[in-house]
Amino acid sequence: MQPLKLLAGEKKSFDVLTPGLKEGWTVESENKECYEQPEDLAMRYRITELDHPACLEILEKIRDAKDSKDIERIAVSIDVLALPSQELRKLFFVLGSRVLSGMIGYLLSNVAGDDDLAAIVGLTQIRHSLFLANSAAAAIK
Amino acid sequence: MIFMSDVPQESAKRYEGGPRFFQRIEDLYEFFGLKKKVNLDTEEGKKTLLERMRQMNPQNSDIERAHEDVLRNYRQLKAEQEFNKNTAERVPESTWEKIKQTLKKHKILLTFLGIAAIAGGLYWWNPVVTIGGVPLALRTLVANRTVELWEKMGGPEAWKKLGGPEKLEWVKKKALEVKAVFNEQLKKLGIGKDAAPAAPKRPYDPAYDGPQAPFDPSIKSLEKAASSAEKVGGAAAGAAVGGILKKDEKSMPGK
Repeated sequence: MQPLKLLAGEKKSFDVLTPGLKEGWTVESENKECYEQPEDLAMRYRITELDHPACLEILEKIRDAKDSKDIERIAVSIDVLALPSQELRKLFFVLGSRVLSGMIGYLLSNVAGDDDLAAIVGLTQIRHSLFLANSAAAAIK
Repeated sequence: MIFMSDVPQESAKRYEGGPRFFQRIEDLYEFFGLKKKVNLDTEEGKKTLLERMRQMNPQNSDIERAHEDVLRNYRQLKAEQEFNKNTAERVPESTWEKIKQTLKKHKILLTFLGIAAIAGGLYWWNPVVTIGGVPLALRTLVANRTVELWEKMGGPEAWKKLGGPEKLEWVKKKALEVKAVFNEQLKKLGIGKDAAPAAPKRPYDPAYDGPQAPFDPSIKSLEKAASSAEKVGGAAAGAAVGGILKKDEKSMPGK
């Protein structure tokens, strides 16, 4: 089983989970931090085509949102499960590692069981992949 | 040495229309007529691209900036390839399913996407607006380039034709609306705690939505806002200050 690759602050959130929740999971320090520059994210928005119908529906609804309550209503009404993993991968690439860290931090503070932790493992691995990709791109600057 | 005859004429013609962005590295190479052996990871390859771009668009007085954009485009395409390769190795399909289920259960993907959509209005709307031939990022307009732009445009008369102070007020108003929603979401998600108030009634700071002094609509204040927002929420928050919702574009004065 893959480890949770956590930043220092996230490790603290994991440490305060109940022993029952923590049992069976391993933690590694995330030490490849390399975040995108705002200009990099702007470029990703330009070049990434989010064309799956489920994704387009989500984007359209979000664009029509007037306030945060609208966003919450939309969040309830849309089925994330309808998004293919390929499309979700694109979204994570476009959103970038800071937003992904936000998701990880939020989930770690609201873990309800092993399924959530399995998802967090996946998210930390996706973030690690982003860090590696950012680092590779920075090297050719 | 590159000769003009090497440049695909069709590409040169298309390039006249302004900046282009590519979704595949192959398309970028084809568009600029670069041979596969040209390696854009190297200084030599980057110089070759710059020469080619100069030949394709000799009228462009800011070709270095366009060159930077193309290289950034290239780097992000490489980053995407690397990201896809790494996630394929590290994240099995069963984990993707678990991620989706958890995101749905906690309703957070949409919340974060909502933030990105609002804060990133900059990206999804139109990151580079050209007015009177002056490329202008809206975020930059809001943050610190208004005066510079005003001068480039030829002073008050030209500025007035473009919507002038009304446009600036509109942009400020929208930026604040965006910022308010953005802050509320950040707060709910426990992000941006650095923006917590030190004391009530402090000078205006859009990164903080508690009691404070009235909004000062000066450029200096907006610069400060952009800076605080970036400190609090990184790129997305910084964009929020200058972000304008796409649906509101039509109501922009001077549009």
